[in-house]
Amino acid sequence: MIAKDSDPLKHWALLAFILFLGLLLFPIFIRDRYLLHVMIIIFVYITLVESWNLPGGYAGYISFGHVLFFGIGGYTTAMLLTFWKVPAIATYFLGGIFSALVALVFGYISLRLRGPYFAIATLAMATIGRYIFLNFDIFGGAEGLLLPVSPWALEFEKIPYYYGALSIATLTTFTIYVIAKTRLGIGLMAIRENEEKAEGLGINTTRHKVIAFIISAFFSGMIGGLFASYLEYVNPDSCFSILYSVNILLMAILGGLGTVTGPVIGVSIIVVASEILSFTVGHQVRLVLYGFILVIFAIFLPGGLLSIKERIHGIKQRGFILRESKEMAAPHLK
Amino acid sequence: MSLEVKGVVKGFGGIRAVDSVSFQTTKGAITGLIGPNGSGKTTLFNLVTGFLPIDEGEIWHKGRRIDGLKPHQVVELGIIRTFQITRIFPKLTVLENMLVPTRDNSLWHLVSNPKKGGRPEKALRLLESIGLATYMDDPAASLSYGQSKLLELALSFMVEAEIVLLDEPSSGINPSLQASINQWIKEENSQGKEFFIIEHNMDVIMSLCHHIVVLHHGQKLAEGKPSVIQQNDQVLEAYLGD
Amino acid sequence: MGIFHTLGQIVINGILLGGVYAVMASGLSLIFGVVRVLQISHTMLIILGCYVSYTITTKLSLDPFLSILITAPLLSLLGFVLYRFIVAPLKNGPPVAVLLAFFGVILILENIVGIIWTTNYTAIYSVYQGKSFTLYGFSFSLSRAMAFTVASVVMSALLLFLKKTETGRAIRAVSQDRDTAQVLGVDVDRIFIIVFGISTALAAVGGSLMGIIYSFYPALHWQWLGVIFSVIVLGGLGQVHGAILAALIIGTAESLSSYHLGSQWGPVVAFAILVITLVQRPQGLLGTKGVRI
Repeated sequence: MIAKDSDPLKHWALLAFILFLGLLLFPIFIRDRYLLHVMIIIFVYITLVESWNLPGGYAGYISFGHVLFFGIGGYTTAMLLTFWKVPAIATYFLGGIFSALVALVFGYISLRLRGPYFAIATLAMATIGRYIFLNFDIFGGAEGLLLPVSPWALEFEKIPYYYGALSIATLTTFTIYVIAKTRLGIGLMAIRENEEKAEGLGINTTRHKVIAFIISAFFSGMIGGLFASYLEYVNPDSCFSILYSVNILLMAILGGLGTVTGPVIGVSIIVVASEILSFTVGHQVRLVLYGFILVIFAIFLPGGLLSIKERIHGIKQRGFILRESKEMAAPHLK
Repeated sequence: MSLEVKGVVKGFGGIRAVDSVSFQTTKGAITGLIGPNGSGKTTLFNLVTGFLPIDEGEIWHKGRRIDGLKPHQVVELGIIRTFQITRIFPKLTVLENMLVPTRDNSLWHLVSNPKKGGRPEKALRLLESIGLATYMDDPAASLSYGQSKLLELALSFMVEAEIVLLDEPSSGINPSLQASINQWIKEENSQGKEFFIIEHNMDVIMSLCHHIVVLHHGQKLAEGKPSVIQQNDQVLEAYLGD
Repeated sequence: MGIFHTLGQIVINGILLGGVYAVMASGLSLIFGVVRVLQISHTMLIILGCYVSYTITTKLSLDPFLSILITAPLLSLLGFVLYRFIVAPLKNGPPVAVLLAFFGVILILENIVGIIWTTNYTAIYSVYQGKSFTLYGFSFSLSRAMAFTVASVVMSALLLFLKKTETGRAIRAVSQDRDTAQVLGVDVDRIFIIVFGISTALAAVGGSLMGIIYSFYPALHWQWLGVIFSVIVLGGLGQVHGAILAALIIGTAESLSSYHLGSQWGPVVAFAILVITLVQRPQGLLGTKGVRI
């Protein structure tokens, strides 16, 4: 009863595999520390956007404060590493767990709010989070905390973080891909399309949303932890700056909400563009530009860049979700 | 006796949309709910299915009190409804729409594959019987009004519910489609499914329903077999008077 | 006697602060209640008001309170622009789109302000700086007291406007039931534009007043957004009366927590009030199911 792979799926899978292989081999051939840094940033944002996308793009609950989970992961790692000498990888995992716990509490309260109000609540949550970590001395205040310096020699020191970030990004992307094809995934999409109807068809919408929120926070917390040890410091700006949320939103919208490939595209474009722009214009000018992009996309292109292709060709661009259903259920109808 | 509504009251800012209504539905029957516009029919549906909380009274189903439950919990117990204004999931495909309804929200079930357990086959069978099978990979938004009404009906059949509440299933569609829907309801009913239908179309009500409840200004005006209701002066007056 | 005196002093400071919060929040409350869009760039407009007021005060050597008369109309122009280019096109779209667009507006404004005025802490200096007076044994900071007075005048004018004038009544009608108001002949689009203009003017006033009391910097609007949001939710969405009451309460709460716990607890307390309100009484103190002013 195994379905014959439809062609597009096969192409995507092959492409993904080649890409992954390329990424695995990348540091062996390319030693330039700047480029490795850019790749690490890309992996970090892929993790953030893919995980943001689960409640955001699939369920339609757009969060403006996702950076909170990233930052909690960072500070958790920092404190566990410095105060209790917990092994690094365990701290990333614990950072994810702790973020997930915060998401459970906050999600339960805020996910009952309708879309835009939820977004504002997340904004408030991130603002307060940053404020707390800035103003209470156990977190080191504005200076933050220092993390142990990497024991690796300078020329190799980025490589473990490269692979660490790549692993987390891959794990996150794969998890989202899998979830999209489960009952949870389809329930989330139903919630996005018509939440009341979904509830009326038996979907426990609160449970669906909270689970999505928790999973999203977990991965973001993990990568936050890794990033903290990469930077070797945490402070309220490196962990909770609103710019992270801005970037996440921009990347998610650019790439297209509610797909698995969208975030990868959006992240790549924005990170590369940012790097290029940072050489030419000031950081504030760049943000003004991003602001205009957000406004234009919000008004004219809510589906992201992928929707342009949609409109031109009139083809439905979907993630690889349930495409095989036709073959599965009715091979005779082909 | 299946669904039992006891002295249910629901008010909005001083107006009693549902005013001490009591009745029972018979297991396996098709019960109609009629009344002039604004008599509280949809509100009653909302109360029974958990979309609105009741102010007073009780609602029972199979010996269990169900007022105060959340809508998805009501579905889990086997009671499902459609909406007066068709609600489907526009950007999901027709088939994906059919895979949404569920009676199980356990964690174990949530991580399972919606394509397993024979559900796509069942969905396809249902779609075929209403002639929507060819659209199964098209976004539901591309369906016509009549087609989406059929889809909504099909959605309510996906969960093996015991009671299906239909809110004006024939509104806005042509007579031949209406006839198809009526036929479908009769078939499902003959297999044991109970129906509770809000309708304005008297032909549909009289031909389909075994039992009718009449609401007027939020109160139960009359109740009984179609033939009896047809002769009821108060009912006639309520409709003519409005 | 000493405890009551300290308590009274704290409460007074809180009320003075709350008055300015009321001005800041009322504009947003109006937009929520009437136009029904989430104008999250409102606090950024307030900050813009701070900076514009600052420039007018320093360049024209004007009294900061008088500068309001220039700042407010200037900023309402921006309000009209925002309505025309952001709200009007997205009127029938999903509400998240407007939210995203205003988020973009925040980015644009915050960074333009940073480019023009730098991101350093700035404050509006006035002749009232550092002076205080006593009344019934309580000490009042002169600048805060004057700011409170101006705020009271403005709020009273607003409430009178809403209650007594024809436009004001039209605004209240639209906020209660847009469709009915339209059927009764109200030009809803015109009302929206007017509300946006008023709201932005109120933001300008709020900014000018706040800028006299506290120092500011471009990114401060995020913090204020949280406080203002708390005020609006506590007061009930769209309820100007509610916003005033809630502003006074939150101002006092902040003042109390500053004194007992330290000034860093202020926004945390406001946030806690927000959360509690959302969980326990989401419609706020004066809110009802239908939104009313």
